[in-house]
Amino acid sequence: MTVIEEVLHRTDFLRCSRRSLGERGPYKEWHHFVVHSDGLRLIVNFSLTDPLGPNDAETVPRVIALVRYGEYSGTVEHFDPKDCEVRTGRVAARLGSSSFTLVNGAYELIVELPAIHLRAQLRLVPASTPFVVNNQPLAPGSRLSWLFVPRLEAHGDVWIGDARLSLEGAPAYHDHNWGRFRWGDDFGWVWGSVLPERSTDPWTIVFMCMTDRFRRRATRQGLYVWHGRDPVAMWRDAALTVEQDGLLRRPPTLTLPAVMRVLRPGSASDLPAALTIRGRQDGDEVQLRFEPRDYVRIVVPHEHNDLDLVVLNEVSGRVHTSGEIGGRVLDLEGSGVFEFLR
Amino acid sequence: MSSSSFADAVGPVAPVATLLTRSFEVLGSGCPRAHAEMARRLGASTVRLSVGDEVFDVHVERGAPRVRPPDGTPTVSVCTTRAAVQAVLAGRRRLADAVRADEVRVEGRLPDLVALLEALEAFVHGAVRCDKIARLYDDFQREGAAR
Repeated sequence: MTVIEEVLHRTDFLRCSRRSLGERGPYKEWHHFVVHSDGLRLIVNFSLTDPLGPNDAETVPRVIALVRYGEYSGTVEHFDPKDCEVRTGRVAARLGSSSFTLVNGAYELIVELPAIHLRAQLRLVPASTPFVVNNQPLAPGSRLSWLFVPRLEAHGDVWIGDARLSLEGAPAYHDHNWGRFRWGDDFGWVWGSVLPERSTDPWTIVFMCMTDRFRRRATRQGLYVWHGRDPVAMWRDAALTVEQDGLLRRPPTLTLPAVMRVLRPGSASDLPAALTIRGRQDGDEVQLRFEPRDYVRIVVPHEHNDLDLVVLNEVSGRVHTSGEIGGRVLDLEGSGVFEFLR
Repeated sequence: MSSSSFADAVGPVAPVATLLTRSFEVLGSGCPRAHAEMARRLGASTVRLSVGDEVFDVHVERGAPRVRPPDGTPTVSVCTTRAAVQAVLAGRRRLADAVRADEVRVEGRLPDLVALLEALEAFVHGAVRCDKIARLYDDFQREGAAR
C-alpha cells in the first residue's frame, strides 16, 4: 500500500450522521470529484444531508452531477436510503446506481444518471498528496472538516448520450467535506481548484477563503501549491491578498434543481469578472488570476429562513498563475473550478 | 364554466386542481411558514386558474389557500396549459418567457399580479422544503407527459 493510499484510507472515510447516537445539529457530508479533459468538464458530488426536524429523520442521499460537453447539463438526484449503501468508516458509497470506492489506491467512480443521459466508469489515481483539515469553525456552533486530493489522473470512459469519451490520465480533483452546519449560517466561501492544461505540467493549486455570510470579513483563507506529488507552498490568512474585479454580467448556464429557476430566474449575481490572489512569504511569491467564463447555480433552501435561499455558484474559467517557489519558476496556464457560496 | 367541470376533470390523469389541493395541505403541515406567507401575500384576492380544460379558483379561507370551483368575478385570471406549467416548473422555460410567448396569460391589476407572483414564490419556497410535495411534483410531471 502506498503512503497516499494509506493516508486516504485513514482520512477519506465516511463519517456519517450520528443522530441515532444522540448527536445534535444537521450533519452534511459530501465526496466531490471534478474531471477536466479536452472539451469535457465533469463534476460529480455524492452528498448525505440530515434534514432539519425530528432527530429520527433519515439522512437524504443525493448525487449532483454537472457535465459540460458542448453545452452544460446537470441534475440533482435524490435517492431512497433503501437504494443506497453507505457505511461509516468506508471510503466507498453507492447511491442508486452511482458509486465511488477506493480500491488499490485509486477511486473507482461509476456514474449512472439516465435523467441527463450520463454514464461514466472512471478510475481516478491520486497524483498528489492529500491535505486534511479538521473541525474548522464556520460560524458559531458550526464546524466543517475537509480533505482534498488536489490532483488525480482519470482513466476510463464517459458516455454522454451517444458520445463516448475515453480518458487517459485526464487531470482531476477530489475533495471530501463533512460537518454540522445549516445553509444560511453566518458563513460564505470561495473554494477553487486549478489544474493545468497539459498533464505534463507539474503544478496544482487549491484556494479557499471562508468569510462571514455577507463577506464583510474573511475568517480564514489559504492558497496551497503542489509540484508533482508534493506540497511545496502554503500561504495562509494575512499572507494572502484577494481582490475581486468587476462583475460577471452573464446569466448562469444552468440552475439546479430546475424548479429553483422560478425563484432565481434572472442573471443578477455578484460574481466577479476576475479574482486575483497574491501571496508573498519567505522569498516565495505567487500571483493567480481567475477569469470566470461560465457558471452553474446550485440552489439550496436556507435552513434558518423558509423564504430564503443559499446559492452555490460553480464557476469555471481560465487561470493564469505566475511566481517563484523554492527557486522554481511557477508559470501555470490552467482551468479552474471555483465555488462561490452566496 | 360551471362547478361540474371541476369534477369532470377527474380521469386517468389527476386534475391540476386536485394536485394543488394536496400541495396546499402538504405545505400547511410541512412548511407552515411558507404556507402562511403564501396566504398573506394572496390576501383577499381570488385567482381564477384555467389550465387546459380545468377552471378553478384559489383564494384564502380562514388563513389558508384553498382550491374552489369558480365563483364570481376573480381578482386575477391566469390562463395556461399543463404543458406550460410543467415547462416552467421543470426549468425548461422561464415564467417571464412563458408570459411573453402567451403560454401563460394573466389579467388583473398590476399590484394584484405582483401579489400573485410573490404568493407563487412563497409556495415554491415551501414546496422545495417538503418531500411529499416532491412526490406530487413528480406525479404532475409524469402525468402531464401522458396527456
